[in-house]
Amino acid sequence: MYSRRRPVGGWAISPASVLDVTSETRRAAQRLADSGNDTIAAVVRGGGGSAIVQAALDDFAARATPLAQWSSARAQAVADGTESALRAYDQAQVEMADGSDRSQVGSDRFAPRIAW
Amino acid sequence: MRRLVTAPSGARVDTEAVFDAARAVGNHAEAHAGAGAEATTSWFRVADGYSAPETQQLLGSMEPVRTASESFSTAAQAVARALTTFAIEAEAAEARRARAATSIASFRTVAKGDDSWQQDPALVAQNSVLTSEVAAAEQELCEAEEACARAIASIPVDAPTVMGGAATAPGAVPPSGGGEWGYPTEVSRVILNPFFFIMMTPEEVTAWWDTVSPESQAIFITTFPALIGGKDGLPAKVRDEANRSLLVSLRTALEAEEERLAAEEENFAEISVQGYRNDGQAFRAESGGGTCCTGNGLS
Repeated sequence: MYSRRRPVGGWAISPASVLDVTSETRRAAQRLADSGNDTIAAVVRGGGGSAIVQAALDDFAARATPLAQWSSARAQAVADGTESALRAYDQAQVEMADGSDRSQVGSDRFAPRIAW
Repeated sequence: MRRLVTAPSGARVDTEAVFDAARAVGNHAEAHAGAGAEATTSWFRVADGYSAPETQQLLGSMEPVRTASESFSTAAQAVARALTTFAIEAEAAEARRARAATSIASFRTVAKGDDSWQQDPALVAQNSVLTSEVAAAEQELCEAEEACARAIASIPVDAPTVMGGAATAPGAVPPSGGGEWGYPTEVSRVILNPFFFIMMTPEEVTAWWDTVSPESQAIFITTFPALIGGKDGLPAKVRDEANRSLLVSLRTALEAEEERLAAEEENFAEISVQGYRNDGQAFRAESGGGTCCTGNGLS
């Protein structure tokens, strides 16, 4: 999928190595989603028949659910963005390998994409 | 005319279910924080295959995952503690109700049939005592419920942090409704995407800001000031407001941390002294077979 490592404009990326990490990040994101959902599910089961406690738990669940899901979404977004950068890097390498005048263009265009 | 006391119906609160839920909440919350820490730690391996001037930023991009998962876990653990305290207190109240119910059943076998018991001062007195006992048990349960509800309602849920430092006001609550993660879509698509501003010129930033609704602009300024405080292309007034908001939230967070540390230090000192002083008494009380624990500030 990705070409072999070759420095581009001062950047040196080993796609296979980075993809290995982003795969792990995606698995971690899934675990975060699962544990977040499990926690909220356990919270809303905690009333034990008390209406007033149950109402407080439901309110907490509503307040905390966005935060419970946020970590997973963030990890996923970082993995997505990093893989986007890899694709841009790969494209720049392909253009350099063409040996055409586009190589410099590719390098210049690539650089800011991973400069986040 | 006095009323003959009646036994309360069965347990009103399923304390075992509350204990189970508290344990489950605690365990899942711990797993959540662990997963966040693991995600952040394993992310550092990305540096093995990625070398660029922005490597440090790349490495730091996962840090908010750790802080957000820890923040959620802390809040959920506080719920678990509140539930545990409630279960302990409710168990004591339910036991009191059950004891009263047993006494009432015996009393009613003596006082049944007609109202002649009302002529017997001893039975009248016993009827009053048992009526009070049922009311007291119910009152105890209600107080435990209210204390638990109050404790849970006061647990702050911090809004997610974003890359670039402490971005949110402490205790800020994500607005309910709206788009993804509780924020309007035009906000969540920015806070969830660490690459949103990449390659944007100041002119493009200005154009983007002009498309954002006033409500969402206010959310960026008050809840995610770190994200926009240094962004070229935004009106100076907006950046000024955001940076002031960030300073306030940083100061509040630091003051809260200072207070927490001071309280922790004070508590630690007190617990140490009490521990030495009461050590012998505690052991004696424990071996004496006390019937219940009333819970003392677990929440």
